[in-house]
Amino acid sequence: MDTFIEVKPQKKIFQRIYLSIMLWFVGRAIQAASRVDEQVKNEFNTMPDNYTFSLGAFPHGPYMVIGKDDNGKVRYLGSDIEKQPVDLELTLKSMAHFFLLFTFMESTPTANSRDRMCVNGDVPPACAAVRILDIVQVYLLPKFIAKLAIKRYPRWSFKRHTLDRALVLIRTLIGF
Amino acid sequence: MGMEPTEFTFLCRTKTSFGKSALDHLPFDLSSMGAHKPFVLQDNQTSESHCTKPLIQAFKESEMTLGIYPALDRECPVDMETLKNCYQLFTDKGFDSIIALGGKQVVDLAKVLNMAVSWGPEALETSHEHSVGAPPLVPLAYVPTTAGDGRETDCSAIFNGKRFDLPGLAPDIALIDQSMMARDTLNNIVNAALTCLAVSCETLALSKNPPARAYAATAVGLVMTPLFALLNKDTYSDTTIFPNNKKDQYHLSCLVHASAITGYLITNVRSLIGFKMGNAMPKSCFASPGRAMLVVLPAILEIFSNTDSDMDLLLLNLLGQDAFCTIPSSQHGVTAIQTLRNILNNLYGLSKGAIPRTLADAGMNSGKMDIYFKAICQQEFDVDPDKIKAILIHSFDGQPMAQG
Repeated sequence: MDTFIEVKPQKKIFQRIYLSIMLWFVGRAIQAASRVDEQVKNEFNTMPDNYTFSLGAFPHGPYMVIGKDDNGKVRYLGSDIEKQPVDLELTLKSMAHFFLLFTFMESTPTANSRDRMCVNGDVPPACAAVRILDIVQVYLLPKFIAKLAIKRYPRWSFKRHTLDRALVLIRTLIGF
Repeated sequence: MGMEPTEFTFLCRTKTSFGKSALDHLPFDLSSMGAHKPFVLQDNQTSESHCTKPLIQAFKESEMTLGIYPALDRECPVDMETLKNCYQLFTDKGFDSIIALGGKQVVDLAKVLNMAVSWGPEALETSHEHSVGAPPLVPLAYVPTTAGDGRETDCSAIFNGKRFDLPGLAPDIALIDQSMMARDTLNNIVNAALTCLAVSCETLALSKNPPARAYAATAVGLVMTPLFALLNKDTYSDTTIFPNNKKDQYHLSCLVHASAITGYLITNVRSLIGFKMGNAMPKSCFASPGRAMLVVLPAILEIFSNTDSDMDLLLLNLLGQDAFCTIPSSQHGVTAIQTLRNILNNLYGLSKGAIPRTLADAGMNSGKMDIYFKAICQQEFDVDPDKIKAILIHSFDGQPMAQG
């Protein structure tokens, strides 16, 4: 390289599309799990009404926003973080880190220990959000993949593994 | 562990990131310091190893524009013209931070450029006036591509024969990523590793600064395995090029990490006798500073072990817990020094004599001892010159103090 060059920031199109699809799916799955799973319901009960949290990558997403309304109902609020105020932001420091997390090359605790994640908001709801994410991943993913994504695969009842999982998957697909 | 901390100060301005995807942290870290348009400096070795590719990759989706300056020749000292060019580009195009990609030469230019763009070009003439109450420097990230002598991460810079020594000059970030390791000669890598080993061992044994000793313990651990792994090849040659595979790459990144720690130690432990003696080694002697530092270290420890030292921690880090537990506490000091001599002997054997055990091995002439002694005494030392002379005499043929 003999001359001075300026490199304009480029896009990672494939990673952005993959992560957007994954976040859309996980967001709807969190909404579904909050209606089916007792543990997820309890985690959301610890959060105040009208509480919203987001998960995304620095600096411009993609994002997933989850909110709890006045009646305690949990909703997936889409991918636009500007639309509503967000009480808790879980941000991965780069899209590459987010991609590692959502391709299950790194589990959430590993990503956290490698300083890939930062939280803007209160720590207890952030821990609750991570626990919810773990549960939802167990619902959505086959065991051999879920094992890569979470710290320890849980011992659930037969009903939770079969009936509840089926309900979460159906509700995720139809968005109810 | 015998040594009681008395009074100490420890300042490490630099955030160290190490690991496979460490480079991906850089846009976020720079952004958190208010920087959005970094100016990249690199040397020809870095350029030949295509180290800018992973950097550009890491800045994708970051919304930051990188300005990449042409590669500097590693063998030629940086001149004022280059600095002026960099300054012009930096100010004209609105850059707000610096990324130094490479070794000592690039970091020195980055530090001096940082002073010029933050305080004005006249600051290079009046840098001493900027030590207190000066505006902050722009963020400086150092991405090493090979092991250095530790000066990269300390608070000093040498440019055009002038030395700048200001607390703010240390890089804000030292980022060590395996994918950024450039190919270098074994000679340079070994010299860096030995510098780090000597500085860390001396800090562990003689410093009363607990955080510095914690860093030193980490550095010893980082150096020992990779150094012997790199040397444990069938055909040793100073000109062998590393890294050749992923394992070498990992070992080199550990040594680079240790080099970064060496800089933190040099900044915080000012009374490193071995470091000063190694750097004062005359050119007539073929030992590089790192090799000379390790050669004089056993004698330094022998002289100062009776007064102010903690050999336990040194021995523990050199031997590991299992071997350490088998040695009676009364023999820790002697065994630590003997272990250092064994390491020197092993390195001498593995390198087929390229790494000296004594100053005589390093080509030092006994007749030139006085010249060397005078060169050392020109440095700032708060040690009795007679002790320095005793260290030199005993390091010449590796004779232990106990034998007279």
